[in-house]
Amino acid sequence: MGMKFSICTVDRPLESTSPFPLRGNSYEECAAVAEMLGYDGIELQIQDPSRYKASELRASLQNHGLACSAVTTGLAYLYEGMSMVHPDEKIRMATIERLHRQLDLAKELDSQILIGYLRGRKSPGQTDQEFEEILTDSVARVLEYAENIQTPMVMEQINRNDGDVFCSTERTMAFLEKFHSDWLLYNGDTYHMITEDKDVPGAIRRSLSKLVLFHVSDEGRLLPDDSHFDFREAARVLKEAGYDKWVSIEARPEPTSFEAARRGLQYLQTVFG
Amino acid sequence: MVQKLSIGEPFIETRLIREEEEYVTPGHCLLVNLDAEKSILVEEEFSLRPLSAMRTCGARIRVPGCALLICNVGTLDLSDLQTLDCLRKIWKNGSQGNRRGTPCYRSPQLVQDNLTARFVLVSEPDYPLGIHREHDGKRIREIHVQVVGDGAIDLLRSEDPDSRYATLPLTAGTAHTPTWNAEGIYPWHRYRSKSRCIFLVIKMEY
Repeated sequence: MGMKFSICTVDRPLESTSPFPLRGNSYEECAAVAEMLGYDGIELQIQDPSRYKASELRASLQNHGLACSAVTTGLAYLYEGMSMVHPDEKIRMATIERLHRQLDLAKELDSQILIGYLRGRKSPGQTDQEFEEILTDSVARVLEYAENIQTPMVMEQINRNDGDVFCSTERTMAFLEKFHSDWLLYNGDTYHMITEDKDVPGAIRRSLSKLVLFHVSDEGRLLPDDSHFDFREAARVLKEAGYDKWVSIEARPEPTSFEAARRGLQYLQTVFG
Repeated sequence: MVQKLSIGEPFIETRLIREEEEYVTPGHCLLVNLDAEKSILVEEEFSLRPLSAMRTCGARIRVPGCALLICNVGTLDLSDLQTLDCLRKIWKNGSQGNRRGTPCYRSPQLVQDNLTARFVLVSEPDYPLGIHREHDGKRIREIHVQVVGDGAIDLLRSEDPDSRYATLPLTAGTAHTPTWNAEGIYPWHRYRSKSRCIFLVIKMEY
């Protein structure tokens, strides 16, 4: 069995700088387009799970023969200021509570949650160690719930432009491994790797024990054009390892959302298929 | 204020602009002036008249009223069957005065204050939509903007399709001149596709 191909989708009008290529007025619309193009699954941007009926989302995906590759959580950071390391404990606890609900939704969809931006940024004057201590506490609280309901919690590597700590694959993996949990997993992302990992094939190999989602995105969050990064080498490493989990297009919707979705899948099928 | 809209997604990116002193249109766009009185100033030397449209390419504009921007208009290829199938799957079948089963497909509708707008795909050439002169009994300014392909507004003496006495041609990137008179009364009229096409119908109550 080969890799499964997915695309980041969003059901609201965000600026075209946001790297969610497939846009629609609803996830039903996104699923219909993804099915027609030939994707295996879609990644949902969910700010607040209480705004959705899990049964309806599940039915939509099933009707279109799609799986949910991840329930992604970053909009709560962007639009509500939620953060797993927020200095205000109330907001931190509200964030953890929100992630529990995200896990509930992911479980209903036989999926996993993805945490990127929602882990938060360092406060002014805060050391890396202080940041890690707070994040460790928050991750432990979310992970305990994830283990209880047996739903994976996936954390993303974030480069130095968008994050402060755990920017490289090695650093992120070391953080995840200290929890010794099969329910805490890793999302690799070529956009972040380009900046942070000098040896990208080596970084991918390092992450394989926890890798369940691999984002494909070129410099500037554009679709791959084979002039900035060797995606073929990355694909070769994954193929040699027998990787059979999600590979997802995370890019800006250019020239249009539809064209980005179509060209993205063509690229995945050509290079990763 | 610039507001991104989702009515055309994932096929057409659309933005609503209100009272912007300076805004640079991205890439190749179709700019529609929705204001009934105020012109849009383009690069400080060209005035886009009220209720008209033009193509822009990275143009600096001043919008004293309200405008709609349709982005990347050249990228939608209606001769591509996968694109066409996706459009027909996502947009609802049927259009004003036309029942389901016609080659007309409607995008979701923007409803904001006195303004409504939606895209319509007509997947067959030479297909006439419904003849009408009333708009739900309201005082409406209605304009059609041709986004992809060619179409026309036919003016007619009656509801009889053979009573056409004039045609306002619409090529991609254009809007027709107002068809209502000083009292806000319309002649009998209809939209007609000349090729497989997409147009935007905008209605403003006043």
